[in-house]
Amino acid sequence: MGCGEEEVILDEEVFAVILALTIIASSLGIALTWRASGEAFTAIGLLDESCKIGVYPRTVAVNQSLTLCIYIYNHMGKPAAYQVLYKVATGASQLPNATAPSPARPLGKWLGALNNDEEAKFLVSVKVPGGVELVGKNISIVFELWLFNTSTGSWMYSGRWTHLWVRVVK
Amino acid sequence: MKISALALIALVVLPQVADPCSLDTISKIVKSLEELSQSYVNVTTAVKPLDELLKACSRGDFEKAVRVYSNVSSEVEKLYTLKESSKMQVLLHKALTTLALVLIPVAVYMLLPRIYLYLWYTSRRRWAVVKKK
Repeated sequence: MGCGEEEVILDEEVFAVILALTIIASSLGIALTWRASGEAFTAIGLLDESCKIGVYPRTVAVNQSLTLCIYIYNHMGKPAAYQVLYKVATGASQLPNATAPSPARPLGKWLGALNNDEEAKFLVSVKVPGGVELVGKNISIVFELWLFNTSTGSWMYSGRWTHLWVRVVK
Repeated sequence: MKISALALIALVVLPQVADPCSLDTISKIVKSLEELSQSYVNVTTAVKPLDELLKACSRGDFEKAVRVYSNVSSEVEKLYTLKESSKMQVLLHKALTTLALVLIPVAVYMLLPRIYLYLWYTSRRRWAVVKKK
């Protein structure tokens, strides 16, 4: 500010604060313009047959059909091909974890593809196979999310799963 | 001899072309879509048919899978033609946004005192100046 009157009318400290705020806002804007898409992740969720978080079955008969809804979300920063595997775990040791899928054999699978930041919900109908030996026991209905890995050209377990404990009845 | 040679060629070539549900086919499509999306191409128009293709494969509907596969292939080919221009467009948009954001503090530094002064004087245009006694 070259003019003396300007100094009196517009306080220099106020002007400096305004300028600093503008520089901070501008820097933030530039950082947001060039930022990467952030942490890449996928998600899988289990919903009830109306595709809402609601009433889940607590009991199931052997070979009875259960209708559930699967929710998938892709935030990998790129399109993804996925497959959901259905398994039945007869104990906690057969549940998957973040690094390893369930050792139980797959009883069903559903495939699909999602663009980045897209979600999908779809109904699935599953049966609990087995005989009377399961009656009275607690079993877990497991859905694992697998993603297609283009580097290896194969399906890879994403480390995401969802499960529902149910008691098998007659 | 000719027939057996043709049969051999068919055995080698046809399974890759004819099976739209093979891991190799899916890998090629997904890889192309990843590459395109990294070049800022909007791949939604190809992801939808890929979703249909995978669903048809999981149902074992081979006929529909073959039909949808040709849609996916043509869509991917079409998107490849937009690859360079999309990348340039997005980079240009980002560069212009950055330039505008860089110019805002400069504009504030240059213009704020002038605008403030102008408004200050304008709002006091009817004021009379009296010498302090």
